Amino acid sequence: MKIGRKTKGLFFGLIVVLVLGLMLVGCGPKAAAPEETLKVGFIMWNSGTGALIGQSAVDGARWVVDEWNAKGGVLGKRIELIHRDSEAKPEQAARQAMELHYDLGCEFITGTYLSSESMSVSDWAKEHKVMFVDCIGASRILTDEMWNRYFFRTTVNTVGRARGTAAGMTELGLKKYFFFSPDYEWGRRQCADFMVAIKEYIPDAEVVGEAWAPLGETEMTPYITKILATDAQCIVSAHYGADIAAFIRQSLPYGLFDNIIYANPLCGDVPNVSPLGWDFPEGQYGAMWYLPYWESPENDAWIAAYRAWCGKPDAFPDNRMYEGYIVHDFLFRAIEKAGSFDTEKVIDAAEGLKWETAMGTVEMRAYDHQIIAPMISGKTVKDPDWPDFVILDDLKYISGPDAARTIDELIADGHPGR
Amino acid sequence: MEFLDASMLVNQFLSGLTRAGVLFLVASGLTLIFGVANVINFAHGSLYMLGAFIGYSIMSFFFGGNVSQSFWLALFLIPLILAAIGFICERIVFRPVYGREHVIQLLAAFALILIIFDIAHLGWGRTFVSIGRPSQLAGSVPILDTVFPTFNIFIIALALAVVAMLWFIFYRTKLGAIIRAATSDREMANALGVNVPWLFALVFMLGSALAGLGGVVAVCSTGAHAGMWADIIVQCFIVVVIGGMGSLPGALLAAFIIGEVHAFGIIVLPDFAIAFIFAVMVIVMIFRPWGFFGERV
Repeated sequence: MKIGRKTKGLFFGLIVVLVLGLMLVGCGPKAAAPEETLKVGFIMWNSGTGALIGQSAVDGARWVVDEWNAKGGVLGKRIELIHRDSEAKPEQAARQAMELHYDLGCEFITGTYLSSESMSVSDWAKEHKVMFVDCIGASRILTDEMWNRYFFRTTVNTVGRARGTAAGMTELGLKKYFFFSPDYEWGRRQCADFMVAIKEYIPDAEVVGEAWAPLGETEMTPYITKILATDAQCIVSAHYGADIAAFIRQSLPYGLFDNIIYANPLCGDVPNVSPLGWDFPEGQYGAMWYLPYWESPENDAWIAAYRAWCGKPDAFPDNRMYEGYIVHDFLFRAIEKAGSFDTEKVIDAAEGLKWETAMGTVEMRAYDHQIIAPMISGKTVKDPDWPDFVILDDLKYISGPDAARTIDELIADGHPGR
Repeated sequence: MEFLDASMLVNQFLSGLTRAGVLFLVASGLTLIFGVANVINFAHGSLYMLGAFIGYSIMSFFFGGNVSQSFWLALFLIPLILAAIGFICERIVFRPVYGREHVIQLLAAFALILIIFDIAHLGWGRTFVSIGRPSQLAGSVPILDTVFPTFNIFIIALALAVVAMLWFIFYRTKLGAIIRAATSDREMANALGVNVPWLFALVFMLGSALAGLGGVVAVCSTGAHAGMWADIIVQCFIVVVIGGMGSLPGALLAAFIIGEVHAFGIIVLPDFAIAFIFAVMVIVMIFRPWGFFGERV
C-alpha cells in the first residue's frame, strides 16, 4: 500500500503534537511546585566481602531518612540520600565525596566503612571545608592525630571497643595474647588498643606473637598453624566479613577454640556472625554498641519502629543498621539545632549535642568530635530464642564515659589539641 | 624457639600444600588454554567463582541442604556444568579473537569478566556465602603433636589426582599427543589434519572444569564472594608466568613454590608474606624470564 504525502504529513503532525503534549504533562506539575531538598551523600562499601555489614548500614540510613521525611524533613526541606559503593577503596571514597559534593550538590557527606576510607574522606573534608560524619570507620587516629573541625564520628572507636571487650574478660586472668587481624590501620589499632585496655586489669599481660592477613584473605590455615605453635591463651582479633567466616570455619578442625579464647569486639556484630550460624563457637568474647536483644524500653520502641518501617513483624534491626541510622539522625538533629544548613553553624551546633538513642543518651564530645556512647560486653552462646546466630551472654554494661578516654588521655595519645 | 618446632613445620608445609592444591587446580586450566589456544584467559578466575557459587547453590538445594551428601553431588556436577559454560564462552567470546593481538583478547576476556561478575551479583547478591564441610571430611587427623584438617588432605589428594589424570591424558592418550603437538606448533598440527577449532573448544572445556572443581572446594573452605575471581587470577597468573606459559609441569612446580613461600613467609616475616610471592616472581623473571619450563623466546 502506498502512503500519500498528505497522510505522511498528518502522521508527522500527530507525533509532534503527542510528544509536545507528553512533555507538557511531564514537566507541568514539577515546574509548578519545586520541592526544596537537602542532599546527603552516603559513601558505604556494600559489595564483596563486606557486603552484609555495609548493606545493613545502608538500610539503617534509608530508614532514618524516611522517618525524618515523614515528619516533614529537616527545616522544611525533604531529605534525599545519595548512596555510593566505595568498594573498600580509600581513593575511590574521596573521589566519590568530590562527585557527591560538587557534581550532585550534597551539602553533607556521611558514611565510609574502612578506617582507611574514613581517613581519605576526612582529609578531603578538611581541605574542602565540608562536614563529614563517619559511620563505621573506628580507628581512634581519626579523632586523635588526624582530628579536624569537619570530621565527626558517631560510632564507638577502637579504644571504646577494646575497653568494652577487655572489661568482660577480666576474671579470666589470661596473660598471653596473640594478635591476628586484617592488615590495615584499624586491624592493627584494634589489637594495640585492646592490649592497653587489658593491661589495666592484668599488668603482666604480654603479646606472644602476631600475624596480619591482607584484608579479604580467606586462606587462613598457615595463620592458624602459626597461632597453634605458640603458647597463646587468647587471640586478639578484629576480623570481620568473609575473613572471619573463613578463619572460624578453618579453625574448627584444629580444635583451636578448645584451649584458646577468641577476643574480637565483633563477636557481637550480628551481620558478622550470622553467616556462620551456630557453627560459631561458644564462649568467645566481644563487645557491642548496639544489641537487638538488649532489654530496655528505648530499644523495644526502636525495634517496634523498625518493624513498622519495613513491614515485617518479626524482623529486628542490627548494630550496623544502628550505625547507619544514628549517623544521619545526629546530622539532622545538628542541622535543626543550628536552624541553618550552613556548614560552620551546623558544626558549632553538633559539638556537645546530646540525644536519645535505642541505647540511651549519647553525646557528641565537643573536644574530639567522638561520640560518647555505652558498650555492652559478653561472651558468645547459642540461645534457642536466636536460632540463626550466636548472641552475647553474661552481658556487662560499660557507660559511655567509662568506655571513652578523658581529654587528658586523648592529648597523651596524640590529639593535637583544639 | 617456634621456628624449630617439628610439628609446626610439618603443619605449615601441609597448609602450603593445600594452598598449592587449589592454585594448581585453577592455574593448570589457565596455562593449558594459553599453551594450546595462545589466549591469556583472564576470565578464568570468574569461572572458578562461578564454580564456587553454583556449587554453593547445589549444596544448599539438594538433599535438603545436607552438605555431607550434596557436596559429592556438587563435586560431580560442577565440572560438567563448567565445561558447558567454558564451551559457550569459547564459541562466543574467544573464537572470534583467535590469532588477534593479545590486547584484543584481553578486552574480550575483560568483557566476559564483567558479564560473569554481573551474573554473580544478580544470582547470589552482593554479599559472600559460606557453607560447612561434609561430615566425612569435617574432622582432623593427628600429625606429630598436632592435628591437620581432613578437608585439607582431601584438597591435596584431589590436586594430586588431577595431576595424575592430566599426566595420563597428555602422555598416554592420542588426544594428549594432539594437544602437545598443537601446543608445540599449532599450524603444523592444523596442516596434519588435526581439527584445531574442536581441539581449542575441548581445551577450554577441560580448563573450565578444573577451575570449577577449584571453586567447589574453595566454597567449603573459604566461602565465596563476587570479588574472589580477582584474588585467584593474580596468583594463578604468577604461577603460570614463573612456571612457564603453557607448561603443566611448570604450573605444578610454581603452585608448590608459591603455596610454600606464602605458608613459611607467615612464620618468618608476617608483614611481608604476600610480598614474598611477588619477590619470587621478580627473581624468576630476572634470571629465567621464560619461566621454569617455558620455551626460551
